[in-house]
Amino acid sequence: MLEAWLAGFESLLHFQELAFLTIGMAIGLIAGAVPGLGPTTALALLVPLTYGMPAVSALALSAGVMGAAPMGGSISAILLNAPGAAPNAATCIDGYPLAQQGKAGIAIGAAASANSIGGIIGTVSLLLVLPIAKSLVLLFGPPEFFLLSILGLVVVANASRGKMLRGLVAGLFGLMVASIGYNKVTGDVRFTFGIDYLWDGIHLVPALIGLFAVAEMINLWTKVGAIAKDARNVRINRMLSGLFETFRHWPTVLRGSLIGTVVGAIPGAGGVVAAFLSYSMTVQVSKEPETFGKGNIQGVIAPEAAINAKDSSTLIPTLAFGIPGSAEMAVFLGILVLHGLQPGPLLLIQNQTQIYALIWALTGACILASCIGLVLARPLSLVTLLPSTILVPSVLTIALVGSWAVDQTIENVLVTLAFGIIGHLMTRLDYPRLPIVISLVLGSGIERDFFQSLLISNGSWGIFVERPVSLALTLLLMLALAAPAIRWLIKSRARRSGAAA
Amino acid sequence: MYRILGVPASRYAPPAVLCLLAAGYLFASRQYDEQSRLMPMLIGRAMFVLAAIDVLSRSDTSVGRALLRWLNPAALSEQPQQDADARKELGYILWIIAFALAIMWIGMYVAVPAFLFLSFSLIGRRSLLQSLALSAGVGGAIWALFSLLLRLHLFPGLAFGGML
Repeated sequence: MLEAWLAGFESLLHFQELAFLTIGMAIGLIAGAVPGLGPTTALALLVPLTYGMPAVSALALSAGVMGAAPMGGSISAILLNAPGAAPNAATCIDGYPLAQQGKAGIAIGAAASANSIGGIIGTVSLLLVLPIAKSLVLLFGPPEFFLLSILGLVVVANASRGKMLRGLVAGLFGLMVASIGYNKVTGDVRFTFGIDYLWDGIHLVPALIGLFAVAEMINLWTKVGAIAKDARNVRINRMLSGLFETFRHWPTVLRGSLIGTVVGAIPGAGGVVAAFLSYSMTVQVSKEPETFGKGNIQGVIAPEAAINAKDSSTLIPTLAFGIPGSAEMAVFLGILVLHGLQPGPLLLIQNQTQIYALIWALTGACILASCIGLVLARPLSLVTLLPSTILVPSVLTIALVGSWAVDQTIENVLVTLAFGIIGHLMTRLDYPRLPIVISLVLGSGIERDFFQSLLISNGSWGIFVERPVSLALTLLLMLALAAPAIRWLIKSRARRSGAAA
Repeated sequence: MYRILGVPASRYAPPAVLCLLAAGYLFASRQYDEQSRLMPMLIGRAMFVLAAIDVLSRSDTSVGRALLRWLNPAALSEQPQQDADARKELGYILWIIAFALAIMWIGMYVAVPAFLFLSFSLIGRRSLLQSLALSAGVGGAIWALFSLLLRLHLFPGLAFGGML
């Protein structure tokens, strides 16, 4: 393991990789700071640009974006009360009051150091878990992988904040789309309706660009005007004392990082849950809970540590099982697939150097982006003044030209457009988008594992409950499906007993 | 507005469309041999059943309310969207469709600057000079990125010799 660890580090120490890491960080800081753009859209736009790159360069670029975006998001959250990405909303609660009290520098300094420490703790956890995950995945065969993929889909649908039914429908829609094209199991071509382009199925990258970049831009276009309020009067000072505040409140950093690590490893839970859980836990254990919401520095430290710790641990289900924990990870999966790195258990065994390079790059990006963020806090806050009427046409153009550039096929533009409209309709009609992406990524694998399982068992479906791991996964699957009903029963019982009392 | 089981008929539209989609998918799956259609049939049936439950959960009946509370509690606090928003969004979507079709037919060299210029001037309400400068800047950056840096020959358009 140590050899792979060092080889991963060494593979990053080239001018090209370091340059892409730096570019990624710059993009991540800007995308993170601009509300409505965010790291997911930035990654989706970057996918086609990575096409001709070596895998490690593409991973360095992506890690730069993913590692730096939280810092960008915290700057706009603190200075302008406009979270760059959804998880940064938790930072607004105390960060913005601090800025109003003239302590923006302290808040940004604390956010930067909490970000770095959270990132390091998250990475250490990832490094500890990866070897265990590697030996765990060796226990898995086709029936287990099939069940695990379905379980991932159900868990993600379940985590869609009270929209399980719609999440499952979205997941099944994704599986329907994934069944288009050449079937590797039977050799048939399905649902192509005579269109040659569809023989290869719906291309993942144009679909991702549409679902995230185009759909988000349509949403943003309806909000006319500047993205954030005026940032010109903001004063930033005393950042160094903010850095030390984090060390003074080390239990808050540690708690936030651990919450972020655990929540990040659960597919679908995401950064919002991690940030708000960390914030509310900090309020609960505080001796002065009444000071939160009015500018308590711990209210900045707690969510920021959780957000960056989550970034590393989200990689655990993504890399080990091919189940992305968030939309950002789903797009990142697209980058992995584009570079021949098939997410799943074999990735940890066959591509150790690239995986460790990614971990190194992500950690480096977390720390370096915090330093850059401290220096560039003010210009970054001005980025949010960019009107959506300039941002949207520019991003849409890059999205459509970028989707064509993946393999220079013009039909990709139509796929991006179609998925952009689907993504927008899903947002408008309140259907979660993440399950569709997971289905698109895992679809062909699910069918392959299902067939292989039936081949092994001579057509008996008993194989899904006969082996210990598959039985455990089946039980977990049933539990996940029953979870909303159980949750509802518990809630209504608590309500009844409360009313009786 | 016409109501079904206590709610406007339009509330049923999204899951009803998905039901129809699942039915069409199941119908299309039948043309393939037994092995090839096994997975699509499973997916299609599950989709049909879940979309039907979604339809039922939107009704103002005791079953509908129970299903909503169990499986989709977030929908309990849904706010209906304004028609004005919908019309504006439709306009933007049609504009993007026109851009995508323009890329296909007249190619990127013409469609990209035209889309940028018209978006900045008509939707962004900027002056002609500002729109020209912005579209030249953004268009130039995109050209530099894809053509110079990535060395790709931008799509010339079907009307100018581009191939599907």
